[in-house]
Amino acid sequence: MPHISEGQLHAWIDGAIPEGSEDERAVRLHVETCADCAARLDAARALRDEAGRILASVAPRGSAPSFEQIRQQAQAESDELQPSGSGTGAGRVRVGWLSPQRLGWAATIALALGAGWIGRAVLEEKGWTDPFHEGPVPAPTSPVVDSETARQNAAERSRDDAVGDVESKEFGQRQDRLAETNEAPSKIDADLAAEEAAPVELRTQGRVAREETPADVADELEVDADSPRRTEAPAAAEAVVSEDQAMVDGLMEPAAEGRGRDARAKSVRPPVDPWHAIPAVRVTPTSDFGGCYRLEYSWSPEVAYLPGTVELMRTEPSDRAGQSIFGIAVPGRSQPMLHEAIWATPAQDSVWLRLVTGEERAAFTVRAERSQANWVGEGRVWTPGAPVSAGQVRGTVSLIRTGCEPS
Amino acid sequence: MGTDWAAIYEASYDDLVRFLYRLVWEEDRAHDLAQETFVRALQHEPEQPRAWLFSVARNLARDEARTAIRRRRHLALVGVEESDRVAEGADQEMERTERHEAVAAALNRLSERDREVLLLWDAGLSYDEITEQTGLARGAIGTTLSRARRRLVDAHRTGEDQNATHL
Repeated sequence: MPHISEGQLHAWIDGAIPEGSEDERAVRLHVETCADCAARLDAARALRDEAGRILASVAPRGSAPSFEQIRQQAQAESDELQPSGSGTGAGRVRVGWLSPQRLGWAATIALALGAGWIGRAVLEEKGWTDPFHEGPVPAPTSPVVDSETARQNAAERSRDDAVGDVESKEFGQRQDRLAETNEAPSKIDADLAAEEAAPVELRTQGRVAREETPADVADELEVDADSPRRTEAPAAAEAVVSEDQAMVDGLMEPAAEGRGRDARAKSVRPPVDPWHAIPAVRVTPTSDFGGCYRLEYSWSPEVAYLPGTVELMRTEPSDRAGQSIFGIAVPGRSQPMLHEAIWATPAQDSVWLRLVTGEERAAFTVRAERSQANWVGEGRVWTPGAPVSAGQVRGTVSLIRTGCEPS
Repeated sequence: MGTDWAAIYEASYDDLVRFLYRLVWEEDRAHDLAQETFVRALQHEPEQPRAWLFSVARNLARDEARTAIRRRRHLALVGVEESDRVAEGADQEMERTERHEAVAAALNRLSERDREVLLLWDAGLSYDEITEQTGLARGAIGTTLSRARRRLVDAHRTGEDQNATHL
């Protein structure tokens, strides 16, 4: 008998091969007589246990509300839908959604965005986009991975498909998709395929090559959630998306936000602090700003961010069409942690930084002025989805030159 | 329908939160999405509840990531959170944050499919359920899990080594 495949070994130790079945007996007998496979079996167990230990180390906190609370929540939301008379297919905020007033708001926002986009293009031609621009940060579209990872993943996908086809003959036929997903399997597959085929965001010195487009902005503000990219869109899901987006866009009264959610009994937690995801940042050197800095920042007392420091170190410049925009790399950290990291010196005595976290799309911006050897200014954190007026947290920022040597 | 939703809720809620947390990396959001998933399940009464829950939860998390929808409470000010931190201790909180970042970074090194299969398995789904959920051939689940585990462990070790180097 040929050696046991890695997939079979893992299926066996996971208990996925029915005990006493022909497959199980074949695997067991082979392992008992093959020292190599026995060793591989031990290694597979160790690998499984180690992976399990890693995942177990990040267990979320919090406890479940009672089932009765959930049941009441579901009932309350169902009752709210009844007056519309549209049954389960109705969205919770779609009732009367296309009112003239809301259409007016939407048109106003669309016009404002269009004007902003044109203005942004003009600004970029001049060499810089204001780091304090308050528009929506591009939402994650696909994981930001380096080119090596992308190549590995592509190779594994094709290899895995071949292995799966072979092994599936041994382990049984493919199952049908769930009927409850409200979606034909071909649509999910097509969606995933489209995602995987989409250009991978590649970085050049920390700067994401992909640029935000007007379509992205329109997608951000799309209130009717019938996007063809949605993999699974029950009507209720669309309604919740619409509701949240409407709140983000200021189209709904704040009071509507808490509707029916008080049963969820959760503590309020802050967004991820961008600097927690960016413990070390390399900054391209230029005339005066290049060098090694420690970034100290403090927020107003009511903000939950913990104060901290970040070290800014030198790297080689990232040339971008002669503009004074440079990349910031994050050594020793997964690139997906950071969606965008750029800085510039718009004037001799000022510097701007802008960093956007990969997962949260929380934007951290700094505008600092020279203060002898250091730079002092203001930093802001902008959280996606929160209204701009309330979505920014401000604090003072100091860039303290530490005199470290360039790497 | 004769589905005992209370029992399913009791048995699956923590698994669902754990699964969601490793997709969104925010405890409050994970709980919120898990509860939203159960609310929808009670409204839809799916025939295969457990697989349905994970399928909808995954897509809720994905939708939220795509549209960057955030509620105002995520712009949180001091309150319960701050008192939690004080009680837990800043050092412990920082250590916990770093540990979670390291695991998140390691998971991000996996392909989307590998990561999903690994997290579904870790959430307690069987090979058959993972097959239903992902559309992968059943025979490919073991291979996928093997690769995902190896890559997770390697990426996590690499991260630890790099952190040690920077100290």
